[in-house]
Amino acid sequence: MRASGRNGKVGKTRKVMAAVSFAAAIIMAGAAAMAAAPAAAPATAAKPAPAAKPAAAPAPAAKPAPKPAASATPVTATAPAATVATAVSATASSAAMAAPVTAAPVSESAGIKIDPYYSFNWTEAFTSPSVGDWFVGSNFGTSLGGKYTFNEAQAVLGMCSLQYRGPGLKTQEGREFAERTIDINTMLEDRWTVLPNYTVRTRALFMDEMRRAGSNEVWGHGLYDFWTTGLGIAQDFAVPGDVGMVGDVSYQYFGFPNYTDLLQEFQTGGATAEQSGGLQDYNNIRFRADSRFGKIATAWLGWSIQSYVNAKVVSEDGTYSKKAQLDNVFDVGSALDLTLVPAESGSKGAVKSSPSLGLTFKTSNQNFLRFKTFGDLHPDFIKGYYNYNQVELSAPVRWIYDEADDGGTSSLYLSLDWIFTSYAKRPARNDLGEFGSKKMWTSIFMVTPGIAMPLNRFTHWNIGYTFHIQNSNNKFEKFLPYNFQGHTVFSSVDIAY
Amino acid sequence: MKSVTSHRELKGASLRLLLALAFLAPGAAGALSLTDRMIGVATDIAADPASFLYDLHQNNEDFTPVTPGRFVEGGMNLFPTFLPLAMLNGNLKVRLLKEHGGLPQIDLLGGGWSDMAAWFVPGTKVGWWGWNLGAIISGSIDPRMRVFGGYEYSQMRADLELGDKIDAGSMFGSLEGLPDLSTLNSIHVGKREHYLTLGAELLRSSDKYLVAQMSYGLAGQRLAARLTWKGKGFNTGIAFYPEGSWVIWPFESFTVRF
Repeated sequence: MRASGRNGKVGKTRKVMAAVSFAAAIIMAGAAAMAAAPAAAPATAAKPAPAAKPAAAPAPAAKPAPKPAASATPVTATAPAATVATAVSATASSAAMAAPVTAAPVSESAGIKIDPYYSFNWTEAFTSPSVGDWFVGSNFGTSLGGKYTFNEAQAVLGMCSLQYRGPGLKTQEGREFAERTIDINTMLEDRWTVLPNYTVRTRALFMDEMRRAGSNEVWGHGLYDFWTTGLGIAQDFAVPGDVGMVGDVSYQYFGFPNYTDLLQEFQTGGATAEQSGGLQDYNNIRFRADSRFGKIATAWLGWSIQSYVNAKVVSEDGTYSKKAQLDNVFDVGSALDLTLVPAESGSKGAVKSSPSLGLTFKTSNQNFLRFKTFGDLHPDFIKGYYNYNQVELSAPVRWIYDEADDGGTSSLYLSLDWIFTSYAKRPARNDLGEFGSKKMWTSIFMVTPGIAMPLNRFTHWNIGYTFHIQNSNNKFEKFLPYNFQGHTVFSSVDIAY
Repeated sequence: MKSVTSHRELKGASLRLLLALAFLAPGAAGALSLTDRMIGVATDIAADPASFLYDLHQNNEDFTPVTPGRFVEGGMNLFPTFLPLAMLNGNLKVRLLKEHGGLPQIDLLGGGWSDMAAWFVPGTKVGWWGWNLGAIISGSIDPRMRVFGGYEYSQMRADLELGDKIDAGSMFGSLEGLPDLSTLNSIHVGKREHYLTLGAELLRSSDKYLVAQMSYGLAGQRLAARLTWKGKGFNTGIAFYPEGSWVIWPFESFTVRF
């Protein structure tokens, strides 16, 4: 199950890319300091905070595996087994747009304005699921980046991040609780303001994810490890009436250096197993339209085409056809940023909510064969096994009950999340693994109350609890649970600038 | 800072919970008893002693920039390496370039240590040492915050003759008498790593800082995170190795600054 030859080559590339990413981040830190020096003198003594710049608010929906507020996590690949995974969770541009680098620049030198960004997150979580043993998981992440504005027309944004995600309850099918991942992201974007209301953003990105399913696996040799690199171009239009429109086109190549296929190995014998690596490699073209209506509402529409390089469609007779696998993922959604109760002063007393609704539709020409026993000559054949429709609803509410002198806020939050997935053609299984007549569905509901307290305006401590309940009419749970409840208590520290 | 004061107890509870959870650690899944937990740790160490010893080695390191306004710093880890493990250690940081006039601060850092157990315990054969060398670039992005990044080479070597073998079963009573499934009577291992680090230093009050950092090892995909509450002389912190046999290490060190 290993493609060591490919992996050796890719392993070196990974190390080089990781080194380049961090070197770039370090250079960015240095450059930020160079330009920042006149404005931000070294912190030799306690000084009153400058004009209050609001700290990055803690995510109301702080979960056991939170992402940094603006980590340059450009993509989430559709892992071979993770059929529920959304192909593209966020574009680099949207992550960058969400970053607080759009705040007032902190420094200016020789006409170049620098808006640095830094984040650090550490979460510890104790989880007790109703199936299996309790476990403790950790998440770490750090990001460093900056926006360099050369003049009114030209700016460059760069970001590098490192993220470790430890064991935890997963919301994607096929993911084990014990799985751990390391992600390295690098993104560079040029922003050219052609006209006052028209900006072209061109970006390049690289991401590497290593996944470790068990303690006996070695980092870098995971079956579902992947890397991706690509280019994207986005066009921002500002329309009168405080309306913004973004049109985005991107291309990325996803490589799975270690992934191979059991069916192919079984049919061709061990001789060609080494050549089977990269079976899930695919080209991804994505179109996305975003719109913003004032400061309250956003909406998006996306279409991803995943064209597989090596994977062929499996036929009913148990062989691979000549047709290459092709997946399409459509997604549409909307989010609101509401102030339910206005602040008494500053931001104290405000009650805010940012509900969102997303719909995802995936179609794939790939089929599925189920061999009941080794050497089964009449396997079950399911056409369109990987097609699904998904609804994702999130409703976080946050009450800012206190605000410190330096702008650090204390808040209580409650987040409700629901993910419902229905498979158009995949029948549910009974507890013996036999396919039934009804189509499969899965529902995941999570509720997360918590409290966030400031250490200073950059740093927050979080403490919270998540109740996770998952139901499905799929009762075959020999390898992965589909029906369970989980309780997670977590504590985290977040630093964001 | 009214809210900070009013929520100090809650934040303390939050921190204690964070530490308690970290102490339990990944790999502790289902190990409800301390004995089970200890057996799990012992067998992990027996399976890969180099990683465990290397984590201990890393506890000696202080990969943070020289304090603003100072040009050289010397320090030593007191716990858990010097005490109780007799790891005589020291580290030195020299500021090569002061942050001024649009230039970042650049520091050169290094440290070394050797275990002294052989000096005091007759008949013990212990050759356990390590060193590290690196450089950091740091810059202020706010009057109360500096970010930094750097590279570090870090190496450890351990040649330990343990005499009576360590048996995970007999160390923790319940498995006493079972065959020697996880035993050690000598260790000859070495490990080296090329680390890239990103971090931030936040000013808490005069000469007191909170430093957060995360390191990634290019050679073995090792991860390490660290939070350090720096004081005027003594520093308290927690080091975290998420994939280690023993995940969290509280530490105490002191630093002299000039």
